[in-house]
Amino acid sequence: MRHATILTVLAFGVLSCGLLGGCDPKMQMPSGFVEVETYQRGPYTQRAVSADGVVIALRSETNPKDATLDFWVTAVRDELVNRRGYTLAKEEPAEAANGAKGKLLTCTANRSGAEFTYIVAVYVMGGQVLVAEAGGKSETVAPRLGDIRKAMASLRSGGI
Amino acid sequence: MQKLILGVLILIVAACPCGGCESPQAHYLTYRLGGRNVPNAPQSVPPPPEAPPMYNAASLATVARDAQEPTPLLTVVEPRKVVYTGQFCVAVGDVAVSIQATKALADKLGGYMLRMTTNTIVVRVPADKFDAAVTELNRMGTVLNKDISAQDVTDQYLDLELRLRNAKATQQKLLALLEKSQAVRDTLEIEKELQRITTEIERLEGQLNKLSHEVAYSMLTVLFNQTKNAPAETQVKLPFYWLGRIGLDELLSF
Repeated sequence: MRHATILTVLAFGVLSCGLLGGCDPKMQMPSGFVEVETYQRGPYTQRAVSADGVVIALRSETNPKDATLDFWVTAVRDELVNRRGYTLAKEEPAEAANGAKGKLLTCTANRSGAEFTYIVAVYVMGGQVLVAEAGGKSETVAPRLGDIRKAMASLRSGGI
Repeated sequence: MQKLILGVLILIVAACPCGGCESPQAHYLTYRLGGRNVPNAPQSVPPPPEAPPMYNAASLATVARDAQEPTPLLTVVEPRKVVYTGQFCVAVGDVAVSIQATKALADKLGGYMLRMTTNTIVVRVPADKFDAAVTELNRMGTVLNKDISAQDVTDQYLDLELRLRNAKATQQKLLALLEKSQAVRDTLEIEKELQRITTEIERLEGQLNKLSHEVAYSMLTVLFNQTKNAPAETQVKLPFYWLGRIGLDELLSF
């Protein structure tokens, strides 16, 4: 009887997690990256760093009603290019592991004379806007571009 | 009746200094103050006394050389010597690219780069291309601050030119004296003076060359800022807090 109760509670918990989106969305981080502790995540739900200073992180934000992928891609592009002065190098379609369509933007920016690369993937999944970001010095990001794209494509939302 | 006549006379005398009997000094004062601060300033101000004309150093030297002959008055200098400088602060999307573009612009206009840092560049462009350079800089981004100045160095230029000519004339006289000199003591004295005047000539020539170059090539100092430093009123910020936190700064800071 006691076992049955525990199992029921566990099953209910797992179901809640899946159905109600209680679990955080996740990316499969590339090898060579170490996920940081919770207190070092900052505003991100997931954050990992490589030994040579490339950072990958995932941000999950509430999506207001009627906000489409185009809306967020335009907002992110405008923020980066027009407000931050980033140079947009490439914009291409992306697809998450669950089949959700997104956009991948690759930008460059100058910091103290050095060139940095910043990659951002935007997805809209149900009530969430998922923003996967990666960045670092261009020379260190370049050899990891494939791994970063793969990680961003491995994204799964917390819900169903 | 007598009181009436007396009153009219007093009125005429009192009115006199206010207009009809104005003295030349009053006109001059009106001119000096631009006719604004002098009570009852006349509407028609006599033309200002002509400013003393600028004199050409060459003609001054001619005067010095031909001092014996009566010479016509000195000619007026033209054109004036003006040093133009400009300082700009421009918000751009890419600072490094803009710095390179400014350097290329200076080269294209026949100028050259003087100094360059990660966000500042100092260039010189030919004075007649100064306006073209300023126009191009305005197109590079949002001009946050602009300071263009023109310094008239005509007097300084003429003074140097005149001093140089005089020094050269003195040098010639000393050389002539040296040729005629017999006594060793005199020769030594003349040679010492000749050395001093030669040094002076070199110094003056250096100053004159420097000034001429500054007149011929205008200096432009440009400080570039990233676009995010542009005035806030030119940007619309969306009401989603997290949008302002995407990007490298937040991502790479632990």
